[in-house]
Amino acid sequence: MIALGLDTDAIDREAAAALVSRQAPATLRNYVRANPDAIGTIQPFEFLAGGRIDAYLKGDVTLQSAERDRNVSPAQLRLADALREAGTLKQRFNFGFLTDPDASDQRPEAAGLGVAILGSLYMMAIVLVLALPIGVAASVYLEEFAPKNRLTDIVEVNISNLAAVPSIVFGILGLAIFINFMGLPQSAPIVGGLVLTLMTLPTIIISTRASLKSVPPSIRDAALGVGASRMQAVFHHVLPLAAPGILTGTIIGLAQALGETAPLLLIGMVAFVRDHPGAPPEGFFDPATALPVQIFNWTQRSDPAFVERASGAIIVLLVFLLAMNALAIVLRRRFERRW
Amino acid sequence: MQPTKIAARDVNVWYGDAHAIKDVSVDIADNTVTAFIGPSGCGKSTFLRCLNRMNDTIASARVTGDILIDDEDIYDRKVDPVQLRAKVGMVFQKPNPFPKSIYDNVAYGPRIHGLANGKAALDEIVESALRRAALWDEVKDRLTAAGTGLSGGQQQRLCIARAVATSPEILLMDEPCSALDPIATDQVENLIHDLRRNYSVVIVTHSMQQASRVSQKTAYFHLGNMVEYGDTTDIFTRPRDQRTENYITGRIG
Ligand SMILES: Nc1ncnc2c1ncn2[C@@H]1O[C@H](COP(=O)(O)OP(=O)(O)OP(=O)(O)O)[C@@H](O)[C@H]1O
Ligand SMILES: [Mg+2]
Repeated sequence: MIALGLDTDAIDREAAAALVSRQAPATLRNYVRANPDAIGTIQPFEFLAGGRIDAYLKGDVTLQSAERDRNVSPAQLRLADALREAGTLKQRFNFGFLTDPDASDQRPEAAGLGVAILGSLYMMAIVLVLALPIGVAASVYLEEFAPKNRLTDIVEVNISNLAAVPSIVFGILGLAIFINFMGLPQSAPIVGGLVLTLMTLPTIIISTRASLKSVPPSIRDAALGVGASRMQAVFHHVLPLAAPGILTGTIIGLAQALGETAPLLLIGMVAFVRDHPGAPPEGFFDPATALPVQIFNWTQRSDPAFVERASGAIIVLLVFLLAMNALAIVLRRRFERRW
Repeated sequence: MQPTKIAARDVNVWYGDAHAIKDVSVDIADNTVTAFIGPSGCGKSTFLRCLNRMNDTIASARVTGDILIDDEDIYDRKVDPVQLRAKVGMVFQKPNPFPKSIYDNVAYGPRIHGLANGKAALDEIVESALRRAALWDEVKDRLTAAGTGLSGGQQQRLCIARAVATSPEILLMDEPCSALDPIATDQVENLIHDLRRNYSVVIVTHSMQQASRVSQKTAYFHLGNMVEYGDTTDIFTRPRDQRTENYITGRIG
């Protein structure tokens, strides 16, 4: 700062250093440890600004509010202004928000969604891989092959009821079965994925059965009439015609699962996780969080800077949901080549 | 007199509690065209569907009695309805082409039964089936177009081509000409004449003229009963039953 010719008398060194994130010393320390030769040289670094400075640049903190704020002083803000004039302090998009792990209460500026996004993606992958085949197989069996009797009636009623069970109950089930009974690790995407699979299955089964029902019976007759087996009739003719509906149901189910919070709280996915989960499949067993849980978590933090984090995370979640819906529409168009 | 291909004995069909076919016994000869006539709702389609066990697919339908094809009871537990339907082809009352291309519609049967080895052989089967169904000239330039995009009459002929393509021994046709103009009807009737050389054909029709033109045997159905069965010429010139006479002279039906 002296080099920049700024007036440093108005502020002590410690307060000046507090302009940058508390993450900075750790970053610097790690760098020096890794490159001992760098001691005594001048290296350029890029650090995040502290949460209050960040908020000041965005207009949420003012010189007046700083008078009353224990965490920031007007002197610091004036220094920030000066640094900005000098071009040392810049405003740009923080991509770390999308890739970095969560950070503690003291460093809201460093908190990122990396672990939550990975956790959510892992769980979606698990849900897709388990719920789609199981759901479609169950629907095809119930709709095309199962005899219509008391037992299948009971199964049917129960599937509809399952769709209405509060999601927190699935969380308790997951806690009891997957964690306590089967001994799977807490906070792991595998457990979250399994719980969400159970939740998503009824949705997929109900929509798959509806789309199987909507295939005209004359198509089945036509296939059987030329000597196709029931399997062939289903797999060659009925399923392809039902595919758009099945896809829509699956993506709606996935979108629901993506936004689901309550059951994940119960299986410990709300934990503070500093390390990204590893690559699948081992990564499925590493601790992670999920997007909606991260949002919930951030809204509970005291530092006002987390409000901004939570809003950002909500936007990310919505973007994911929009992308999934767009994908659903594209896939449906692709399959819906109705002749 | 041709040997018997299909022998039905005391066949009864119920849809739930509704008795749709009552004690029908009939011998259907090989290399013969047999026509089923009768007023709407009298059970012609129902009885036809018994002959290739398509009634199995209707949950409420129950069939009793014996139906023997080549002296084998087709309702025997040993008989695989899938094999049976490959042998007994069917053209449904409502045209029901697959929502696929014209080519794929006709090629589907031969494909699943492995009737053609190689693309060329399959092409040949498709072409000959479409020619026999009098559809080839209209669709030869657009075989990849949708089968469901054809006109009603064309769809009906497509379904005939699809049934013929698997070379069944028996062909069941449920009003195959209901949506056809006189020219196409004529062509389909020629096809039926051709088929008779190798197959046994059963045709349901509402047209007396058609029945008398194409068939050698005619059965008259009335309210689930088979009232009269005999040579087509006899039925149309000297009906024995009053109900048959009323029907063919246009007083009922
Ligand atoms: N799937 C079904 N479920 C219940 N009843 C049926 C079913 N199909 C036909 N029926 C009944 O069985 C009787 C015979 O019907 P069928 O379709 O065999 O008549 P049809 O002689 O073919 O008539 P049409 O000339 O109008 O085609 C009718 O009373 C009809 O209502
Ligand atoms: Mg009918």
